[in-house]
Amino acid sequence: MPESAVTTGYGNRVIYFAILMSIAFLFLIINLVRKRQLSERFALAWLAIPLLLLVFSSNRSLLEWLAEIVGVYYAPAIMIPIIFGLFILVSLYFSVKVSNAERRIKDLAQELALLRYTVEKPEKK
Amino acid sequence: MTEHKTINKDSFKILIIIPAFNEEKSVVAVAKAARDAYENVDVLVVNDKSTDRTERVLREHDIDHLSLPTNLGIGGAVQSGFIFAERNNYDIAVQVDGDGQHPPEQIPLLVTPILQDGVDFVIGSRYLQKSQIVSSFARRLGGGMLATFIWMNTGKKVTDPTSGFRAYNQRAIKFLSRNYPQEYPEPISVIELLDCGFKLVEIPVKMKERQFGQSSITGANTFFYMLKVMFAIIIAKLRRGGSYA
Repeated sequence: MPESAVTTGYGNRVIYFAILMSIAFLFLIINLVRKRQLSERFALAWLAIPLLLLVFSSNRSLLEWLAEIVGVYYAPAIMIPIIFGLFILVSLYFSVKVSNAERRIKDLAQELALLRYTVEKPEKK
Repeated sequence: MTEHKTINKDSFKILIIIPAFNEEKSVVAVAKAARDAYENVDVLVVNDKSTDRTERVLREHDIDHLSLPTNLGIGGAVQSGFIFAERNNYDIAVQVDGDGQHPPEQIPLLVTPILQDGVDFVIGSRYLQKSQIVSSFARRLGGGMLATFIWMNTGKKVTDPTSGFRAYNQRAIKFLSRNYPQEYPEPISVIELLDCGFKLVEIPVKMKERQFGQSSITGANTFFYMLKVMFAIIIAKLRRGGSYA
């Protein structure tokens, strides 16, 4: 066991687990993009999560530094608010995208209905 | 009624917009009555992707209509009518619900203030006369809250801000074809129009109990509807740069 585990009170296992999860998530996203089930633009938002998690979980001093600033004694616990915050940001981003898409669909639907009217009108009269 | 007809005569193009979602039983009667309400009016039903036979009855009776390819809700449907009115240079657009609760024979009453007094938009209000329709307590309470809220925000008393029986002049049509609220369009559009300096007059109308279908605002939902509308109004205000505190 490395020294830090003794001094800070946690082992490496939790870190390894976080790294493993991040990599699995990373692969899942990349695979979805590869199969064109997720567009590149959205994928970037999702990629931000495992990438940031990787940075934090593989860099213990960064994690401990951050934990100290926020006043968290058990450093890995700082991952929880980080993950939570990232998820909130990503879902907010998607809400914005959905609202945008909604507006575009509305504009298109209206334009289509108006076009259809002008196309069908002459043959009616 | 005949005196109104003479005002119109060729000089004004009037479009009657009838949004319809699953109104197969009432829409044809409403459209025909609207056509007879005035000389020289055009009637345009906006079929909001009904799942019943609305589209078929409209075709069978040869009633002009737009068919939305997907359900947009009342906001998007009515706005399609405004876009149509703007592109085809109508002077006045009248909105009449497709369910038959707005009496088409009262359309001239809505149009007259625009023609004679130069107001920008007219709302047919259920509550100006001592009411013929007995609304539920929740509905009246909610309506009262909303009216008070609008009054606080615009300084204008609007007795029936959720009424969808309205007439707009060309300037208002142009405005609405560009920005018509998609959620809670009736009360929000009132606020936005008043904010932008459009002049409003309310006139008393007698509405019928709806013959078919259901109001989208019922019972316990009323309270939440009002909360949501107020939230939307506050947002609309903020968007406009907060001209009112």
